[in-house]
Amino acid sequence: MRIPCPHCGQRDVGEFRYGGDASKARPAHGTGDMKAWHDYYFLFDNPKGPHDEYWQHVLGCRQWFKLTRNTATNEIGEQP
Amino acid sequence: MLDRRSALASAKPYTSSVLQIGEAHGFSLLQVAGLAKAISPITGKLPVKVGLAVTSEGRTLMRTGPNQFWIIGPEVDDIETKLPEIAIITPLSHSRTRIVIEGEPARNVLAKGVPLDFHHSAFKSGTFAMTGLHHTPVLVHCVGENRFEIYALRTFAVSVYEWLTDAALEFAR
Repeated sequence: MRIPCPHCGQRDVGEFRYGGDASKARPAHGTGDMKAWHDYYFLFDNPKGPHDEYWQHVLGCRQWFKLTRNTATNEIGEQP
Repeated sequence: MLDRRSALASAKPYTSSVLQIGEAHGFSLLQVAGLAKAISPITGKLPVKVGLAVTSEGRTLMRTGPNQFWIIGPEVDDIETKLPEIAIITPLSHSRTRIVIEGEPARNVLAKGVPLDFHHSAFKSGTFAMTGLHHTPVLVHCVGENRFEIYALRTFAVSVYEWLTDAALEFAR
C-alpha cells in the first residue's frame, strides 16, 4: 500500500502513522458536556468504503494531512 | 576546537573492490523552520520542492518540509548566528552521522532496506528523501550516479552501518 504525501509524493505505508478518523468534529474547547466528549473519544463508525483519515508522514517530512481511504480496498482517493 | 568523536570509531572497516562504505566527517547541520523568502537572502536560493537539494556558497540546502530546511555546511559555520531573528533554528550537527556508500551495487544495497525506488531514472543525483532504513529514520541524499550520503541518528549510526555492510555482503568481490 502506498500513500501520496502532499509534500514528498508516493511513499510506502510504513513511513506513515495513522492519526484517526478525520470525519469527527472535536467538541469546542471548554465544553462541559461529558456525553459529547465520550462520544468523540469512544464512539466510531466502522464504514466499509471511503473513510476520511488523518495521517502523519512520520519518517518523512513529519507533516500531518488528511486523505480518503477505502477501508475495503485501501484505494486512496482525493484529499478532503 | 575539540575533535568530534565518531560514533563509528569502533565499527569494522568495510572494504570491497566494487563498493565503498564509510563515514564522511566534517560537516555542520542546521535545521531551519521559517519562510523561504526570509531565509534565502542569507542562505542563497532555496529549493522549491521537498526532496531537492541545491548547493550555494559551499553549503547544501535541502527542503525537508513545506517551510523546513536543512543546511549542511563546513564543520565550522557561522550561518546559525545569522538566522535566529527570522527563523527557528535547531542545530543538529552532533545528532547525525553521515555514512557514504558508493559503487555500482550501491542502489541495490539500499533498495534492500529502504522503501524507495532506487532506479537511476527515479532517484537522481541532487535529490534526497527522508525515509526509514528498516524503520530507522534516515535521510538519503544522492550525490552522484552511484554515490549516496546517509544521515543517520548518531545513536543508530552503528546499527545502520552494520546493516549496510551486511546488506553489501552479497555484492562483495
